[in-house]
Amino acid sequence: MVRLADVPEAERNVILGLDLPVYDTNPAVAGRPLRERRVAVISTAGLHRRDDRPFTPGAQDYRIIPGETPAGEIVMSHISPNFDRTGYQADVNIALPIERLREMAADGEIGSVADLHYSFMGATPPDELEETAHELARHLQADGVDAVLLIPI
Amino acid sequence: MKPPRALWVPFILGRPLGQPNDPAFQRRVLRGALDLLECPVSAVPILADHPEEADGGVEMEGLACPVNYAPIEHDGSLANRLADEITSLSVWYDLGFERSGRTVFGGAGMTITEIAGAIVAAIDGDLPGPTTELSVGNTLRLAGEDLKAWVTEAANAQPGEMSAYALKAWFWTQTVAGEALLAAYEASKTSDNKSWRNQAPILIPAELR
Repeated sequence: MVRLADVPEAERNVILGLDLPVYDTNPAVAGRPLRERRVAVISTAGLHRRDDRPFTPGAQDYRIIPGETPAGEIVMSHISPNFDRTGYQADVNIALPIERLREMAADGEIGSVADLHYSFMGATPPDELEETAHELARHLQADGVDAVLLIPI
Repeated sequence: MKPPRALWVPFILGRPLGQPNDPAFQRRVLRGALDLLECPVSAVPILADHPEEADGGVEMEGLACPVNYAPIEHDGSLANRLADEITSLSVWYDLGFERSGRTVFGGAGMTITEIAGAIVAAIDGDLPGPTTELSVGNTLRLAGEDLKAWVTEAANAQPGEMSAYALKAWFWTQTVAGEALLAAYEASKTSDNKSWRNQAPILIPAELR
């Protein structure tokens, strides 16, 4: 997330006007040491495989990105024009750092990298995604994933 | 449901890992986020700050506007100028694709020439038909995104480094593609097609609408 001072005024006002959730409990839950965890990525950059359906405004569904998908087969159909895409054009790891995670797994910093990763179209209001999020959580659990990197764009 | 641990990063929107093609930098960002899992539950910060800035790319040097020095043999219409720009940039787009082995172009399922034609036609009020999956507006939005991706990938393949901000300014003020998208957006305001009226603004940065 960029500094608000570096965001165009119109976009800054949208961000400042967002409702923030309130939680009544400590946010954290305990888990295994990082070096034993299986890590997946969930992006909200509207990423998907080239042959997948593109995202449309208000999309509440997600796309699956198998870890072995070549970088050249991953495209972005997020609807917002208000973020830089040139970094992503130059290096998919700027938003979907699966290669970095593989390196960290090889070096023993994390346990392993999940086989499947996921992407949403982030402009959808989060509360409209709750049902899908629960469904996806079940898939992640079934895959043995116990750490998820939520990477907004 | 409980909120996730969160690492705040000071990078521009669109670059959550900070710097493209800098694995060491990206790993430091990932480590900053994942190390929060090692914090004792009672000590997890609501929001941790990442201490390292990204440069966002240095200012542009050497990026040239596509200029066609061939004798002008057309009427200078937007369609012809856009075709010229695409011709001039094609060698750079091809070079970028050859070097990186990837392109994000292709979401609309059209060639760059077809896309240019569709955008110019939309300016003239001649819209494509809907497909089984996409409305007219979504088809044109994806075409517009492809045009942006194609031109900026071509620019990125040119010698010299550029900042993301400079590249954005270049696209919207100095390219025919940017001019065409702004014209398409203006034309959409009076279009009879609701999906196009709804989707066209999404192609344009908020500060330029």
